[in-house]
Amino acid sequence: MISFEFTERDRQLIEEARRQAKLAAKYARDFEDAEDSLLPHAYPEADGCPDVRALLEAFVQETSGHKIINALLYLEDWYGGVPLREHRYSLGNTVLKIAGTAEQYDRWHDRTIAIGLTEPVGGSDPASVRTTARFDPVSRNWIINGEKIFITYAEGCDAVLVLARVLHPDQPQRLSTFIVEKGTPGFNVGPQIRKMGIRWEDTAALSFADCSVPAFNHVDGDLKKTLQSFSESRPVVAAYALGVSRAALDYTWIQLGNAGVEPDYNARLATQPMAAARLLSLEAEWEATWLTVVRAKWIEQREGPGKVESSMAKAMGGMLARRVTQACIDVLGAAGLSAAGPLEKLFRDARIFDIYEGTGEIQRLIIARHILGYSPKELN
Amino acid sequence: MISFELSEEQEIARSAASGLARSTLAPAARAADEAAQIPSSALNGAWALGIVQAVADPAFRTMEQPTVLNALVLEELAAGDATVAAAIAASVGFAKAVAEQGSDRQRAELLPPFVSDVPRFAAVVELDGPLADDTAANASVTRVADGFRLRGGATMVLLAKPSTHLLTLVKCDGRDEALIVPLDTDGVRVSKIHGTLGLRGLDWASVAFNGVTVPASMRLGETASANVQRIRDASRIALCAMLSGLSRAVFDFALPYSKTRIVHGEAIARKQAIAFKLADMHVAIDAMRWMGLKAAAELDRSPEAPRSARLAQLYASDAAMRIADEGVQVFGGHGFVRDLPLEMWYRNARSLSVLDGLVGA
Ligand SMILES: Cc1cc2nc3c(=O)[nH]c(=O)nc-3n(C[C@H](O)[C@H](O)[C@H](O)COP(=O)(O)OP(=O)(O)OC[C@H]3O[C@@H](n4cnc5c(N)ncnc54)[C@H](O)[C@@H]3O)c2cc1C
Repeated sequence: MISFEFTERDRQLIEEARRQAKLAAKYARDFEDAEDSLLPHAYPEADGCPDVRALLEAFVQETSGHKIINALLYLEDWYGGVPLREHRYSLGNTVLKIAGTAEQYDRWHDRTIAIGLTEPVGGSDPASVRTTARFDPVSRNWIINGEKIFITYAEGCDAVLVLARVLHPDQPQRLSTFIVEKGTPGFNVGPQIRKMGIRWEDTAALSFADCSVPAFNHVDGDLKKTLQSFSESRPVVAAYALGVSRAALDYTWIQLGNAGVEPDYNARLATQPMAAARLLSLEAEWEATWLTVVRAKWIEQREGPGKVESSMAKAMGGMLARRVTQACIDVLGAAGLSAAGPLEKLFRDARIFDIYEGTGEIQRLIIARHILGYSPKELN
Repeated sequence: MISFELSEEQEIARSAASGLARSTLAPAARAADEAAQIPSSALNGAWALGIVQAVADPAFRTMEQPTVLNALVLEELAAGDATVAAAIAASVGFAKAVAEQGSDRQRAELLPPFVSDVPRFAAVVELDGPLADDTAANASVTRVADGFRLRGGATMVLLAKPSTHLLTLVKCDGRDEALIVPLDTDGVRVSKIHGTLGLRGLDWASVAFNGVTVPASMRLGETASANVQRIRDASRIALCAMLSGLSRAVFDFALPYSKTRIVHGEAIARKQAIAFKLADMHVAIDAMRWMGLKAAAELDRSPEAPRSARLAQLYASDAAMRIADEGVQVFGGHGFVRDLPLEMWYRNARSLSVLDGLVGA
């Protein structure tokens, strides 16, 4: 039977996460002029607050499921702006889980593993990767050379999972992934990148100059499987977008309320103030996106990550955050531009969701190929 | 506990409706539009699915998630022909309001005729405007000795002529009321509307209530005001369901065409400008359908669902219009001519999306 009702436990976890998000909100702007600082593992207010992720693990049986609720907890983190307790979510770890051997998993699963796909020549097309991993028959090590840009957790991570072109005397050229640990000679992390928004997120370039890594570090899953990790993370990114959009909408409704404009779910659009009518349409889009995110995670819980459903969620979330934050400033007018209020920051932060982890266009390609039955060759 | 899984019973009902839509409704839709009349074979087939009868049956009270089931069926019917779906939805709207909120006497009196093998009509209308010949005076509802007195008009009413009753939503002393008005009441005048943009088979009319007296016995619920919000919520859920079905018809028709239509040496589907339109349709159809079902599930377990139902209708109205619009575009000139259904869907999408309050699920 279909149901969209939270369990008691779901509600409790989400409400607690919202409470914590509001505690963290006062730190949200700390990184605006301090982009080189990294997020603390926890803010002082976290003392005495339960760790909602730990509660989720402990009581998962009483929830609507780990994947659904975990995504909704991320929504709450982003509602506050910065997390009260850092819960890193890195694709490098997901790839390790999906494509790594048991020994590799044991070695690194509790470390933060950044993912290094994007290069200066391009991020949307993995085939354009120029970083190489050359097999050295003498040491039996892999020698990594190349450059990655825009890498999340570049500074704070323990290792990076690098997508590289394999050069092996006995093997055809192909793409594969390698774990390069921090401290490996020749592995350098560039300065923090200056970004429009999400300035608290640790983003920098990586360079590899004759970086020698042992054969054990070769995570030799097939590339398809590696890219499958996106199917897990994309709905989570859409959940981030829901969090930022929710914050913008809530703030805007409060401001409109102070000006005497309230949402009326009954009145026709024609008889509502234009601001309210516009926001109602965005509320509708928010709700639609929420459903696609929860549905993607529900499917993942039952049958593993659904590539198309997760692209659908990501496409919706990426566009939602753009539209909502643009409209909220438009509705409130010039007051929305001031850094004394949250909108100008939400507007800048929100723009990333339709870019990283596959742009909106890339999501549409994936969806379109699926519904049309086309290969990447036939539709690109 | 969150779940997107339909029950077996819901799946069976959905699939029966889907079969009928494909075999009977879709093939007859164009002729019905041209003739501005739903053929009786289509109507009888849709009626025989039994959703109105189920609502009118005393066993209705024990049904699990009736609104979800009705929404699923209406969606499938609309994928075949939105006109037929809307006709059924009008009767569902009336019968369900009476079944859920009517007094024992009202239920006993009004519902049995709907448990029938032949289609029965009744509609929900909103007293929302002045009389045509007295546009200066707004609609008015006053309490009189033993009931209410109505003056005003309802501009667009579907299937008024064949209906036995109109469930008339009004505001009286600041409160919402639902009043049951038999069509043959003194002062009720039905004027046929000649020609509408879409959903042309619905025998549209405007209805004037020229000093109509409604006895207290015909006030839905008799002793207290009805929960009109619930009736509106059901109407919005029905609209969302039908808009989802209509959108799916567009998508299912455009997709194969885009793969076979060759322009500049390759299928238009291989151009992103077209492929991305289809991808966006796919995403929006899924979203709107679940929004409607979420609102339906909420209405099935609570007295009302104003936010979910309204947002579902809003999203579906925008998305369905966009989908029908892009559907025409994918077909180019062939989208504009009446040989193909695209232009009809374009008109029907606009028409359905503004029917707030006139149907039910
Ligand atoms: C803050 C931030 C954090 C990031 N974190 C990481 C990270 O941790 N790891 C990592 O590997 N990368 C990361 N990225 C990189 C990000 O994933 C890429 O920027 C993104 O995939 C787009 O690649 P690109 O910038 O090279 O744009 P391009 O690939 O050059 O794309 C440019 C434009 O062309 C469009 N386009 C590309 N191909 C097609 C096509 N076939 N059809 C239609 N349109 C197309 C794109 O949609 C886009 O609009 C991060 C980026 C940012 C800004």
